[in-house]
Amino acid sequence: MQEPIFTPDMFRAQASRSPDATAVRDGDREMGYAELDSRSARLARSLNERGISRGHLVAVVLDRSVDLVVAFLAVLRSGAAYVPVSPADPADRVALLLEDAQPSMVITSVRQASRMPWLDPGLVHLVNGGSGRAADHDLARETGTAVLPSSLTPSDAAYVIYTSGSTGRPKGVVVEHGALSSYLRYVVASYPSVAGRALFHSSVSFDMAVTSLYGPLLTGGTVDIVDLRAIGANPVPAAGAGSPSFLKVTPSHLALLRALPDWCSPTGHLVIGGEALATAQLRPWWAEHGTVTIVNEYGPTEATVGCCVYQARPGDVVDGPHVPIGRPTTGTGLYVLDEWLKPVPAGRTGELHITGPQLARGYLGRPGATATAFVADPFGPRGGRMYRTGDLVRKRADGSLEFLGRADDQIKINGFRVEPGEIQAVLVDHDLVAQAFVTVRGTGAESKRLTAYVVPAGGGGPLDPRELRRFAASRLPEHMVPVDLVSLPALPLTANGKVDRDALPGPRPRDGGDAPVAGTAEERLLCRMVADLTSVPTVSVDDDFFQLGGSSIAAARLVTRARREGVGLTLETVLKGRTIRRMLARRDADSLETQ
Amino acid sequence: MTTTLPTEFSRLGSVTGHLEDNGYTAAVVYPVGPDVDDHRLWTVEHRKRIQQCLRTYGAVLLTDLPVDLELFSAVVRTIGGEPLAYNERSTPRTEVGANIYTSTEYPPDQAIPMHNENSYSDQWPSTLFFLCHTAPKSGGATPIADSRAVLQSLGPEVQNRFARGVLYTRTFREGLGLSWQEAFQTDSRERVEQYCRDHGQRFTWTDGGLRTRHWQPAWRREPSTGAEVWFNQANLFHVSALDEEIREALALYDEEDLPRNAYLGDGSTIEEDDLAVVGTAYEKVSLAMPWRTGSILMINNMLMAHGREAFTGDRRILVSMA
Repeated sequence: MQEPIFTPDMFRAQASRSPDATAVRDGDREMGYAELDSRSARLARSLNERGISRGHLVAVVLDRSVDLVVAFLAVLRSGAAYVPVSPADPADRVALLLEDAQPSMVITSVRQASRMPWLDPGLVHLVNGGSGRAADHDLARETGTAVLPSSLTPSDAAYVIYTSGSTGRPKGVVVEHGALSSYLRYVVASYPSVAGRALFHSSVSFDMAVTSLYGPLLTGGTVDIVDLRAIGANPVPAAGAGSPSFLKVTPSHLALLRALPDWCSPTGHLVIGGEALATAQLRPWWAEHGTVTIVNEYGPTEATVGCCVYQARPGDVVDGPHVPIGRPTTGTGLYVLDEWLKPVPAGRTGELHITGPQLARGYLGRPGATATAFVADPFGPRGGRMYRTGDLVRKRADGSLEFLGRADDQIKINGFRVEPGEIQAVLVDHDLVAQAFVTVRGTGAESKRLTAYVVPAGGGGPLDPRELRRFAASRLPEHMVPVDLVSLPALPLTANGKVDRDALPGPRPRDGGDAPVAGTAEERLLCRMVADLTSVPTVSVDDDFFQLGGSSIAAARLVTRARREGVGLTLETVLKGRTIRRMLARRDADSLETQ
Repeated sequence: MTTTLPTEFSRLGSVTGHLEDNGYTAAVVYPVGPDVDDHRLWTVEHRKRIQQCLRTYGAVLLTDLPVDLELFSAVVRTIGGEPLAYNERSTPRTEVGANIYTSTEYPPDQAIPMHNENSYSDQWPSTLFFLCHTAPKSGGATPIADSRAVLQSLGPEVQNRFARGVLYTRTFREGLGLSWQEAFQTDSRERVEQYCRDHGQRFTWTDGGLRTRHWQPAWRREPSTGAEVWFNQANLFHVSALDEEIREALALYDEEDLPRNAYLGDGSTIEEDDLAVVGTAYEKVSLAMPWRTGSILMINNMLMAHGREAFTGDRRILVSMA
């Protein structure tokens, strides 16, 4: 028999090699390979009987469960592509995704179906949602017939995963079997620990799940369905479980992982993906788990889960503020280009562009968006496509890449371009900071303020913003030092494990209090003027005018107002002095010179 | 004042349009929203007529549309063609989508004087598109002024003095106004120099930054109507555009260090009285239609100047140029 190349066939081959091994575990419920094979075959057949085959889309609205795994495999075996929709998402979003995807069928549970009364009943295919009620006939029937061997081609769609677009409307990324197989071949070859036990904890509507799901299922491993956030209350591992061999998380999950009981941490590979990873974020966990291989896996959904990876084996030293994302997976081509699509030299920041077998087909039903993001590859053979990631990267001297963050996240303050990732990396280098997230708060040129959200290390109390600002100022140019520093017990995360910007609290009234109290009448006068111009209630003589949100226009106003009160500032003294104390010192030095 | 439109423009499909006209400036208004199912298709079907309105009257307002960046982007492409990137910047803006920008980020309590986009340059967009994402609580209209009427309102003396054109000077440096890196959207001095050479601008690198100067005419002939239009930004570049407080601070500088300034074409000073005449002409000619969320305003950039009123509350107007 020919070596199977598509995911459902590779799974079947594995099922015949290890029929008795546990394929999926969800709490007390376990399912072996033979049963998963026969159940998914029956459901696939049932889908085929209802007219579903290659070219169709089937939405799967199920929680992380054994049934979800059966459903995914069944859709792939039927020839169709699945659209995972997390029932944990708000009802509006579920409706929006289904409206956009226009699936030919929706596989869901009785419980979830009741939350979607607007669904056309003719499209619904019910499975037992693990609720203990009478199971749907497809999953309950004991005997089954094997479905025909798949007649898939590399350009048949495997799944459609929605990502949020810059316009706020989610876009469905259509990933084909060729791309999926390409990625999974990499996983099987590079992460041997998937053949053990992998925790499946991430949202089903996020492509991170692909690694933890198919990695084990194609190698005889066990997919263990858990909810990391619920474990805190349940510190004892499930019977016979022990530590997993494989775990994939986002950088933001790392702090959570350290707070969880140790049996949640993997023994073989810890794969980190989804966001830029700062060395300081990784260091504490790795220090406690030095025998684990760390993989920093970079990849947009549009290039199938992961396409550029860096492995740090036990004993390796990771230096520099960012953990590199390393080198491309087999067949993938990566270019770092400037805005004119010209390669930038090593060491300079550019936008990452991807070519190769892992590129998605495009965005479902959006030819315009597809054409904008997937452009002709000007460097490769004719007809090749290149995906513009919108991600900023830098090539290191050793040839590996560093992921610095999203181009959209680039902040501009008073004309300076600022990369939040660089500031975050510095903040987490402080001993008392476990996590940091930097963004801009306020709108309009005169009131934009760089705001840092910091999580104290080891569950400590709120951090002293002045100390942190001093620390940041000793390592960053002045325009990159955050104005507001807000301590949070934890960063709010979205279902995808990324920082939830909308859930971050707004800037608080500024900390005053321990500031040196303005002494002279001139100092007090200027403090009042700066407070008025920046709308900051208390200003000390050592506060930086521009960090307080002052713009060059406000600086000009300060000069005029001060001169009208007899304080002879110039624009130069304000721009260069930046703090009231230094402005006045400059003024005094200038007046001595001219005498 | 509302007047009726010639029949070929008054009905586009199921939508009845009318003319908003103050005797100098006119805009064609189509309440597209309720009567049309597929707004994108409607603009495609009536593309020719809308473009004709833009060539004849200079401004078209579509109202009651959903706030949808993809629809906006489609309207821009249908009516104006491929949108432009905002280059050789003179004001701070943020890109929110593919060549869709926020309108100039200026403090709400200040009005932005009337101007034709990039009329200080040798390249300018033909059509501007504004989408009202969030209507302000009060004020904040984008007034428009027919540039033919503005030119005619100035009187022969002012016209004569401006016959020499306008000399624009800019000084870019970090901290004060825009840095050259932001204005030219590059970190490369060679690119800036090449840009200046390509666009007939003289440049001098200074200690803290860059100075440029270039000449442009004060009025031009609009190609589709053949009419002469007032087309310069002397009123915005001239130091008198700044408010008293800021002028006073900048007065401590040499004139050539001002972030921007304008002179008559021969290098002589522009009299503030002349700019006051220009300001009065704009005031007389301007038509201000209050923003409603979901409106799209399109203007022929040579036929229509535009500005911004001061406002209160949140205001988010997105701009694309073609």
